[in-house]
Amino acid sequence: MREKKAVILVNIVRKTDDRGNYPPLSTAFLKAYADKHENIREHYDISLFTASFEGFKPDELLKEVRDKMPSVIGLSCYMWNLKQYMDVLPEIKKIARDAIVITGGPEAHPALLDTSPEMDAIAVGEGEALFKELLARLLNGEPWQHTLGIAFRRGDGIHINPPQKLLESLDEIPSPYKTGILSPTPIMHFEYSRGCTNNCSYCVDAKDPYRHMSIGRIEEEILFCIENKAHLGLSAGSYLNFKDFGAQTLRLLKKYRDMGHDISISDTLCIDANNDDEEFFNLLDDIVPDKSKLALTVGIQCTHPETLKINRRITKMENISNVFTKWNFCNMTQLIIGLPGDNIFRVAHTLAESAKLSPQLVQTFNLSVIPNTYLFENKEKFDIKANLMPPHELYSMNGQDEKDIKKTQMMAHSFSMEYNCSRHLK
Amino acid sequence: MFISYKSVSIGSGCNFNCLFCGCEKKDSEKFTTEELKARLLAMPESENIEFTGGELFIRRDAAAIIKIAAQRFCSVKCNTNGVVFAYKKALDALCVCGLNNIYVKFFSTDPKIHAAITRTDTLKYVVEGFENLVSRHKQASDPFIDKWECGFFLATEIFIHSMTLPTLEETAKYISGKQIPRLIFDFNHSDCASDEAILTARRCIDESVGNGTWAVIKGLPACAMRGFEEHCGDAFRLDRFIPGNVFILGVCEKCVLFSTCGGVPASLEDKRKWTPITIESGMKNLDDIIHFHSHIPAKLPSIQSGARQ
Repeated sequence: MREKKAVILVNIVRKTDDRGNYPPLSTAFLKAYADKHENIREHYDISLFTASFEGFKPDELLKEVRDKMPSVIGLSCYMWNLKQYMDVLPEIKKIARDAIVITGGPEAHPALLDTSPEMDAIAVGEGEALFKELLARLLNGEPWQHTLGIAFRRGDGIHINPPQKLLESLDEIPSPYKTGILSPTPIMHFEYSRGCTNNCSYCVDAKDPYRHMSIGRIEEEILFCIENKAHLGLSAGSYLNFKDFGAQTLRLLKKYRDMGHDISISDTLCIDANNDDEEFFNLLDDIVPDKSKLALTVGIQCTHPETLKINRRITKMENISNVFTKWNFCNMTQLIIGLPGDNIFRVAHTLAESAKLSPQLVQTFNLSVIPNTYLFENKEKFDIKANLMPPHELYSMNGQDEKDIKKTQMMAHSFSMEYNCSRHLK
Repeated sequence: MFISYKSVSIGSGCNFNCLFCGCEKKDSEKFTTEELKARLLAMPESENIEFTGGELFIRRDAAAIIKIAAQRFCSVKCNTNGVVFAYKKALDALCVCGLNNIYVKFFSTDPKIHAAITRTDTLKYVVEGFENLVSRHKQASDPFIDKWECGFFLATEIFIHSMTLPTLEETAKYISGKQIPRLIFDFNHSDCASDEAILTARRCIDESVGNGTWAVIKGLPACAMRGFEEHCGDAFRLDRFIPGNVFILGVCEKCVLFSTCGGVPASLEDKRKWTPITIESGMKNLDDIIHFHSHIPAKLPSIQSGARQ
């Protein structure tokens, strides 16, 4: 039997709560999609290397590389793990000199090639079709540099190929649970949607249209959860209550609950509070018996009209207030500190408005000028000075010097610490 | 800051005997546990409450009271002189009961000044207690500890007084060097709210921010803090009424922030030339300051002859 070529997909996931690390969904999706193609499955042995952010041991990854001598190493890159990858890559390349190292993920940007000589390519945009094409090209002896959607070094500069087409349907990606790539866990997370209907300046989801899995596919996942006595984790998606999709999903869950199955939604759920769909919230109220097990997350981000306009953001506080007061879930609000157009007083107003809603948690995030966002691509327009490397922190921008920004962040942090210290106990 | 607390007095018993405070040792158990419990249970669960005193932590039932309050209310703030926390076991035990929002009063790092004000020889306990609280706060702020399950807020208030002013910078430097979430310079009831005191506090604020501690001034209106209005603690209060403050007839009512202002410390009245904040004054970010104040409930101003409370 012909020996398969090894491929390692590396994912350092972030510990986000006490319910365990999130599964390596991105790399599991890549494998699931690639493996469904017979020629890939027959010729490649794609394995996942997964570690948590705090538990990552470079030696374990190096051993994996030494044992498998992969021809391709894929890195699933986020703000929190890029440095760890960059630290270990020189050692990896010493072992697997000929391996192609490709970095992907929502925040992977061609500029990384300038800072990390060990990276051979960057996957720009959606990864599944791109990864499969790369493997197919290698298999056929074609130049991998022709793969659509990748950036690579050519001559003295960086060349970016035309983009891959987005998958027509997320259903094209087989379920990583049903294919056995991921083991069933008490909460089975899956990525039910990608892209967004909003176009916010700071968000990597903004550039792609909202796509969601079909209701038929959602039902398959629900049935698999039921078989494995698991609950559904819907945290990995833009937001659930998109048009009628959210209500349809919840109707399915209700159907199976009414049939006597113990199935519910756990963890966090992002919602669009501007869509106050009565049926959606009624169903959610019905389906989630223990309200403390589900946190509804609403991105307020900012409230000042000018800041909202500059950042192409829609936040309607009255709608959010309606959702919070009407439905007694564990509510969380998210705010971004340091957006163009904001200043310390505008942020103070946003914090005060957020506190008035009495959510269980107010999360404040310092603005990260993330690659592939409108802000990143338009740094000059806003006179933004930011770290090109993770965590892409903002240094200064129009009318706000470094001291102003630091003060605003400290004030917001001081507020959120006081606000949050007690409420989670309830 | 942006959080409105309802005061719950535990009585005026205290282990300090401060020169400018009416608290005494003798009524440390003025309210019985049952009385306090009944008062707490009569309050709506949606409230944020703050224990005022006296010193809560000299009560033998402090842990029980904290436990009841922490289970009932959204947020429970405790004002303290911090002495009890010199005993780490006491801190641990209270944290188990739900203690996680502490405001420590600090007078001076100079033992003589501390002793002169509090009329006790307790600075070493205050410092030790503060260090233990800082350590607890840092532990709770570890990025790998889940924020859903823990959190410990710590703020320190330095009372501005003619006795604390000489060592204010040294004291503030010590506190802000610990990188706690907030340091408050309290001008309420100050006997020395002069230009010099404000300038000193301002230097301390700059240093605190440089050290990574957010700092605010409490008890001064925005007009006394031109150029550093963002540190105006009272602008960030939802309950803007400040006991003991006054409004200046002929000045305050012309100010664009008058309807939401907390007023001026009475001791400042004759020492400064007050000018109202107006649109014409060209103050930086004035629109945003006014916009921010719009969330504060407006009071019903009624300036009578002369300054009034």
